[in-house]
Amino acid sequence: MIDSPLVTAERYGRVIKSTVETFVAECFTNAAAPPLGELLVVEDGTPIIAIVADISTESRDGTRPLGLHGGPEDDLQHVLDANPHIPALLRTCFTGVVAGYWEDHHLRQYLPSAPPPVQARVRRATAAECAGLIASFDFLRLLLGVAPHADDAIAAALRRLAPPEPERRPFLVRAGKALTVLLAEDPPRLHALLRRLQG
Amino acid sequence: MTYENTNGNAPLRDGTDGRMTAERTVSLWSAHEGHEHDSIGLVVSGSLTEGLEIRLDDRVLPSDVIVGTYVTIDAGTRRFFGMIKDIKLCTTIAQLAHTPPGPDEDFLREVYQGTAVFGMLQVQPMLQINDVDGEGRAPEPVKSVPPHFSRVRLSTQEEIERIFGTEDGRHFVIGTPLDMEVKVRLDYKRFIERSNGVFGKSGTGKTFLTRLLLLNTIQKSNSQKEQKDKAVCLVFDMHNEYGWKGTSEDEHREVPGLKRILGSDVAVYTLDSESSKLRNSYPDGEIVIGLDQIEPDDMKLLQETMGLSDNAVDACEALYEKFQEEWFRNALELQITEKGEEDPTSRQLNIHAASVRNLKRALQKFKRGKDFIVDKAPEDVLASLLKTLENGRSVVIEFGRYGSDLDAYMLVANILTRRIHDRWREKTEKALGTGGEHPIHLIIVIEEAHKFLDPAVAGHTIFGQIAREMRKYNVTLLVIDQRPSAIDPEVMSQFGTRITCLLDNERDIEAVLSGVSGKSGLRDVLARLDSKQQALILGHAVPMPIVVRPETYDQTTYARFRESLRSSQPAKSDPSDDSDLFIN
Amino acid sequence: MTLDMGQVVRLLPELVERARTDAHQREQRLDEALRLLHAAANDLAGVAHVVEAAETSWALALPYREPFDAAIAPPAELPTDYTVLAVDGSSIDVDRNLPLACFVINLGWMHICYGDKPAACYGSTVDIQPTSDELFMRDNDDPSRETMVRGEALSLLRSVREMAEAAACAARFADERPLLALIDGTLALWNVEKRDLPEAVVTMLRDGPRGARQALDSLRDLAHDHPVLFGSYVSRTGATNVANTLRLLACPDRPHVVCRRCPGKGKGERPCDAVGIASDALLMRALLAPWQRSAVFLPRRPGATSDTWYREAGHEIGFFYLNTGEEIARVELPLWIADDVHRLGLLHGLLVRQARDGMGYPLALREAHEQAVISSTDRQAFITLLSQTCEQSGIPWLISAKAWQKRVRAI
Repeated sequence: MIDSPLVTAERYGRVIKSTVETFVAECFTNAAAPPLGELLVVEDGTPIIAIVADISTESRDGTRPLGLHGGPEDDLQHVLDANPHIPALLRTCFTGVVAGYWEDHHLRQYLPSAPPPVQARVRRATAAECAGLIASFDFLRLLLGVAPHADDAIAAALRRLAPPEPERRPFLVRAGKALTVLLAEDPPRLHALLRRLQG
Repeated sequence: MTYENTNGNAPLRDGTDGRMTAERTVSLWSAHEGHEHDSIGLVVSGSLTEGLEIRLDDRVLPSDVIVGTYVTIDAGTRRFFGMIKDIKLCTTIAQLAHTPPGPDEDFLREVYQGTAVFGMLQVQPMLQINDVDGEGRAPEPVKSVPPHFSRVRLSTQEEIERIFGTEDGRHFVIGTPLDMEVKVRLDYKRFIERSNGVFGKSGTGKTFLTRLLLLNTIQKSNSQKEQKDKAVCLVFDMHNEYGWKGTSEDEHREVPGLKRILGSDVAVYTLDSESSKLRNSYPDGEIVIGLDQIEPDDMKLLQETMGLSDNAVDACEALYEKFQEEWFRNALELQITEKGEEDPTSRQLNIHAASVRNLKRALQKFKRGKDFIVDKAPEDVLASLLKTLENGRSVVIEFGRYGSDLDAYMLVANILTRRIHDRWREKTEKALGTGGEHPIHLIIVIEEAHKFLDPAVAGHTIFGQIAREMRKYNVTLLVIDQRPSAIDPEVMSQFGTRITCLLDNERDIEAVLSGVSGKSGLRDVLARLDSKQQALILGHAVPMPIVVRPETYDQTTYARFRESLRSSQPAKSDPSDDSDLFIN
Repeated sequence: MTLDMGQVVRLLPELVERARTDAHQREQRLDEALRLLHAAANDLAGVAHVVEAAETSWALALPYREPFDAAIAPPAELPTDYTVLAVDGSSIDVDRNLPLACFVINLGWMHICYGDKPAACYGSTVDIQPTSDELFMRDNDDPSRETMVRGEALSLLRSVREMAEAAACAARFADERPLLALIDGTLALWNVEKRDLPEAVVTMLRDGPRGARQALDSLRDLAHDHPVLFGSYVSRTGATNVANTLRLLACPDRPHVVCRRCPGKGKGERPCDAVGIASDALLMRALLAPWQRSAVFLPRRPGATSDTWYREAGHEIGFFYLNTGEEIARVELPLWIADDVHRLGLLHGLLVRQARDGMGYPLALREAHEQAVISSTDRQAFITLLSQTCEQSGIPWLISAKAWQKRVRAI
């Protein structure tokens, strides 16, 4: 987490597809995708806070699938050196799951009334913005409701949001408690999620 | 551009951190003395009859709560008081019972605590205050329930004290609650105006409690100004516990009896002067019973123990009809011929040979060994005993070696009580009719009461009658018993206040709690009392049931009694001495 | 009417027999052609003489400096640091149903760097030409002579634009590393005079702005200062230049062959039929091992005039055949590349690498093609956008019934 709010948070990409619950953004730089569980802010339009639930690399042209290059003895770097056009024809995208939005400087932890606009820029959230999120655990309900499940991303996000020791453990326990209430109907899922949180 | 949150520092909203939630809810309830900090949970369901279900706050472990303690429930302007009668462990995730967190899963355990697993209390509401700040400040019996999510906390000392009365002429201290140092007081007037019972398994401290009750009653009576508020006790002391001295609870020490502490307020009569002498007890009188004082009703009472057949009992009646007070002697003189024929008297009275034999054998056996039975009583000891009582002195009747003789006990008790019955009724009717003084309030203390109050027998004995009617004649009972289920339920229902130590028999517990509202919770409390030094008090003389640790019977107690004695009466000389009060 | 299998069954054996006979004959002719080729291998002067003296309508091939039957392997040593640039184009033809008569040319390019700093970039350039000089190929001398750019004219224009784009990109990307610049299709506007294009159009394509000459000049200048190689790649060539030349060599009238005087003409009994093979590809497949190239040839068409400008401009175009394993491709290149043995070898070698990477077709060209392709969705989007723009600008649009039908598909 960036500690100083004055540092301009890194911009990752732009929205290329969106719903009120999730959006897909393409990275400006394929190699600079946000990690799973990272907290994001969608600028341009109603400011939205989200977490990274998936990162994918795919061919830019949907009609052209990626094929295999090189033999079993060729390591990755060798294949990329021999085929410089491949990285150029790929794009990296990431999926963001909406955790809330700002309205008049208040962070609301429920879905906005409109999806993030396509082409809106997406950047990393600052420490102050993250702090606003963890004031309450309401946003977990939004994250848990996404299909397919983004549980690993949720656990990663919570571990990122956790303050440094000695408050880290109490924070994770509180998060775990909030999850227990939300996932009471699905004990195996809850158990798996709590184990990831503990890790 | 970053987005700062104006609510970025708001406390958690979902109550997972109990501390913060409590702070937030201060403004919701009436601002009373910051009690919220002791909050232990919320009312979530329940009913008036079944009790309230309280969801324990997350940070309160079920193991921190004790059954039998009091809780206060704040509900706006109303306040409810209740007793914790059960503690449960609950879980919202059934699977956890099969696959609980492992030994290395501390994190999971911490997370589940208070969310998936939590404690629930069952509380029996007993009293309510309708208007905490205003006019309706006095607690009343509960008639309603607090709404959902009302805050529950442990009752404070001040609250308990306020409920159980302050130090005044009306109340006396009986002990302290389990977890506090406040005084629990009984209402003296309410205590004496109805019959009461002290129950518990043997060895649980009934005698001890009774001593305490009697001491307090007598002392309180002395401090009453009005005659009508005074009371005297007549104790049928089967095991020589109450008079001069008795044994302590652990049966190693001797403890002083009523007379030693209260001096001339108490008179001791004995049936067995030898025994009294041996025990260094100085009786004020000796009881002798003349054969002419025994009546057929006494035989009826003792029919089983004496082994009298029904015909023999009828024979007694017949003999009494003919010979009046001489019936007993005449009964002993009945003869059977060698041929097994009745003598004329028998024939005349239609008493068969077999009945004669049965009767004679029983009567002789009965008379044997009872030195206190003489042919004719020299002077009317019994009358003087009654006079003692009427003059405001309590009486303890020591039975000496006859204590283990149930016949003797029951006979003396029955005879004496019959007299009392007549006397008191007479006096009352006179007072009602032509004016004059009502008789002083008399409390008759009997042990092994189920023998007298057994459903089969209760109809015959005078005790049954007293229990049912004598309140209007100012006579009540204080029964001490370990088998309350054997007491006639109709009699039991007359008992105003019941003080019970540990009972473990289902029927006994059921009997003690019969007719009590909210008894389902009390049953559990009763079954969990310590075997010593704990008693549950419920009924007329207390605003709500409470578990107490009775006052200790020690130097401070005696000093207190003696102090109050001196202050209320002119000094009297008595053979007891301060330093003698503690024999060790 | 059902197909009478009975009849089919009776007719098949004859067919198969004929095919077998034909195959055998073809084999014979191929062998003969090869023999002739090898025989004439080093007689370059002799072959030149025959070609120059011939009076025929056939396209012919003159071996440039290498033996006629040369089969040359790619160089063993090739630089590890080099770049490849490829350009391809596609177009949307003029559609009478559009409110505005226009055409779209989409040029796609890809630049790949190999070696120490592997990298790649790509892009496309769109050219939309509505009622402009180019569209009507207006002859400034005679304004009435307007030809709508359509069909073949459009594809010619496209080829020229590809060359221009290749020159422009090459200028952008050229550095100290060898740069192989490729375009798809032919460098030479061979068949111009066969088409019904006015001179003005041809001139414009050749000499106009972003025309062929300008592109080639630019590339040659670039090649002076940078190791730039340039060529075009024709896949699945159907050319017959060498085969035709072998026929001449087999003609009894040589060295002066006059086809119209051939006695067997029209009757299928020409003497050169003995070496008649369907295409150069067949010949080369037999001659070249995988990744080998043929000699560089110069195309000759007796009587043709329009291709001489190349020579005059210093951009005479030659070609060679390349066996990619998958196919025989024809690679065209300006002689100022072919003259430089080192560059020629480099061109061959890097092209082979590209073809290997691209499973038989130069990888960069394939990628450039992908950038150039206009999908049907793109096409539809273009029409929609164009229509909207026209409507907003108040241009009246009378659509044909067919177009209307195509547009409204909703039920």
